[in-house]
Amino acid sequence: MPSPLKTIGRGALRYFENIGRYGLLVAAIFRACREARIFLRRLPEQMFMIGNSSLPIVLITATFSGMVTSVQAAYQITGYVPLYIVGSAVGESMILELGPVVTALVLAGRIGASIAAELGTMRVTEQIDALESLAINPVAFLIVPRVLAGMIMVPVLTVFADFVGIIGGWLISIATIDLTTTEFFKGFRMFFKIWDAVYGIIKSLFFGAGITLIGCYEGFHTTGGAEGVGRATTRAVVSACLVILMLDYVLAALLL
Amino acid sequence: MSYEARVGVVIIVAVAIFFFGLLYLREYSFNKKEYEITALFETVIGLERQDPVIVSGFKIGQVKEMELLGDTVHVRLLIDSRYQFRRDSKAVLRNLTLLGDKAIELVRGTSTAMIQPGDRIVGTLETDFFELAEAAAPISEDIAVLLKRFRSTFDENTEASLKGSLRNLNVISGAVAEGVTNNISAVEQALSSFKAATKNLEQLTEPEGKNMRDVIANLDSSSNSLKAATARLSNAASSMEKMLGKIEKGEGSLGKLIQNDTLYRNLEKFTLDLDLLILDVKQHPQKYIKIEVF
Repeated sequence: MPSPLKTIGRGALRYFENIGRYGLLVAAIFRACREARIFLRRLPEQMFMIGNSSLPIVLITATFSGMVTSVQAAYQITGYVPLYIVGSAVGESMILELGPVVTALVLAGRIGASIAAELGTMRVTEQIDALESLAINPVAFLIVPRVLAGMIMVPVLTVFADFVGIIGGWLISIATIDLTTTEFFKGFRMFFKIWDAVYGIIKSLFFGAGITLIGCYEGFHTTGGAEGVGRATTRAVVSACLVILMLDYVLAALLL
Repeated sequence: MSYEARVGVVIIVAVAIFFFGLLYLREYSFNKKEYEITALFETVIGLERQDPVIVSGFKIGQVKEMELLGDTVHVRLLIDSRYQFRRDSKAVLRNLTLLGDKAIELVRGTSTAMIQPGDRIVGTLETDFFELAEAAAPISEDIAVLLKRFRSTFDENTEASLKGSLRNLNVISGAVAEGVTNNISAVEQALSSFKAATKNLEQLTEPEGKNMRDVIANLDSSSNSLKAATARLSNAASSMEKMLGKIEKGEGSLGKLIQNDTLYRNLEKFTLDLDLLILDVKQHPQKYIKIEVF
């Protein structure tokens, strides 16, 4: 049985190794950006897969997020706090937090897992090795289009999520609590700043980059056959969720 | 439809939602014209960019920018061009809600000159809620002391005493009500007797109506005579009053007689002398009475 010290040492080494590999992958992505001829052809397909295909699940989750926020805000508002604050709570929650984060978490499960499984399978079936043998840069061919598509389409999906979340919150506000449309948007406008919306989009851009990069990394470095693909997929989803939440804090601390 | 077209549609829709959403939330209008003025404040605590500028509660603009220059905060306001204000208008920083939302209210001036774009106006601070609360603190303390005294005055004994008094009052009012209820038949009887007596008197006086009128006429005549006599008496009283006044002042014979005691003293002296004379006559009658026989 290995000593605890040895276990900790190996874990730390693996941690630094991963950090180094991530750094190298990012550097390879920047280098591969010069090969626009390769990744631009693959970009629309990846954008469709990440963006259009994920639109229904994002719309459904965001709508319910807005509705829940509306109900909970109305539940907590008592005493001298005016009811139109529900509009502000729904709007600001969706734009600042729920829209970007819920969308990113949903996409981490859907896109992160999909990318890791796809690239992992290609790795274990030596398709990536075949690309290299054909003198095709696998980073430019496989990773750059996915990361770029993620950075473009996650903010786009976040805009949709914000929109339907606010609409959902508004519908619940006028249907279940004694609030008019005018009051709802009065409360919304009261604390709304353009920077809030821009911040949400910037955040989702980082989330898109994080989800796709982690998925690509885990898939690209898969070992151990079909079992290894499964482990890579799980690691990709878990790591993406953690990174989303950590980035959420870091970006809030830096940008707000 | 190709991937490119489908992705393009989604992106265009997202950009449109984002752009028009922001315009809607900022209440931006493409044909809206605005002008800028600067309000100078000593402090702008709580004020933020895009806070509303209001007049009589109506939003006419927003805070564009704030800048601290020296000791003064320069707050640049964007005002809708449809609204013009006089040069001596003031900007008042006030609370919109208890949550601390701020707004700048333009208070209209009276000068003939109008504000031009780029002009500066004076900014003042509305009394803050917390300042009001602070000012009200001594009053609340006074009220607390008053309540304490009130409570100490109205202790349990006083309360019991008050309750006892109220109970007694209740008993008294009950007794009064009972008395009235018990004697209501007697009262009714008295009223009916009074009514009957009135009727009898009416019947009695009806046939003698002429006599009564004569009596009344005589009484009237007598009262007239009495009136004349009263007038004469009044004159006599007036004369008497004048006379008594003169007597009191010592005027006239009677007045001098009453007010001046010289006569009294003379009379007293005279009486005394007379007594002495009579005594002397008794003791020495030969001095005064001489009897000669032949």
